[in-house]
Amino acid sequence: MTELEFHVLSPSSVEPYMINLMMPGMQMGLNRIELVRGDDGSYSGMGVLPRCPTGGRLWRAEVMVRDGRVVGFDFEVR
Amino acid sequence: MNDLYFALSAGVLGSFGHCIGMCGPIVTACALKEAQGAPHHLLYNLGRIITYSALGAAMGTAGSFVSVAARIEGVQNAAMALAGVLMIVLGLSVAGSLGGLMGWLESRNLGVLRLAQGFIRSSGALRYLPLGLVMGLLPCGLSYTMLIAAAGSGGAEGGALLMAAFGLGTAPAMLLVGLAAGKIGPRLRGALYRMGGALVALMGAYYLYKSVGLYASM
Repeated sequence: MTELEFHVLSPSSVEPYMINLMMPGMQMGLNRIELVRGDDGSYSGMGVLPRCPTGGRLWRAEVMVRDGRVVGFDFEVR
Repeated sequence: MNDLYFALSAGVLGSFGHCIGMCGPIVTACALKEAQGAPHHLLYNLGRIITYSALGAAMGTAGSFVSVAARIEGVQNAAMALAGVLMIVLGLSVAGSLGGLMGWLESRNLGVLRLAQGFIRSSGALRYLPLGLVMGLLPCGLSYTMLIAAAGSGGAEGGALLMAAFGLGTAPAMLLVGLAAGKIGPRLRGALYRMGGALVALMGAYYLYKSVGLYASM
């Protein structure tokens, strides 16, 4: 397991502040990454994807936005 | 204080969806094999909570989940292999008719098998404490997430308390599974009882297979 850097690119009117990492169909607890705005206007933060012994590889990153919206992205890890 | 409440809640909520599937088969295997009272299960859970707390203290001291996790990965895989072998031995001895396979396993003279057999042949509730201590090391996605939080707690005390609260939160579900399996176990007779043993042995084989896979990926 290694620490990963997460980047979020968004329009200037949208202000993401947190990523919630989860596995669909498997309770993995609250794994949140705080996002910090960089000089280039993008948002980034460091986090870890714990390896699930069941072999599940599908993860979901939910990006939380200041106005209350939540945008989900599904991805697979190797 | 909020962190401890969060950890306790994560344990309670997570355990019914996660721990019952992961640790439940081990508790069920033990309950099928012998009559157990609340002390057995309390000691098993105390063992898990002690291990979680020690891991939390290590994470809090290091301040990094990744560096500590890399050091204990081998130990965790060994714990998973031990759990697998224990479930196979317990399952086969409950199944009874699979004695031939049991004999073949015994002829392998594996250290991990001797450990599992030593556990089964001894008696008394106290041996459930070391079992819980070892099973607290099982690689588990839910506890990994809590250990990430423990690493960010700022110190050994904070990390240990966070993980103790988490472990405490998972205990009710595990107690429920163990006590329920203990009540059902003696009532299951004949083919159904043996089938339960065979199922536990199969799940043990799966644990063993996963532990070998985890070693290979290290």
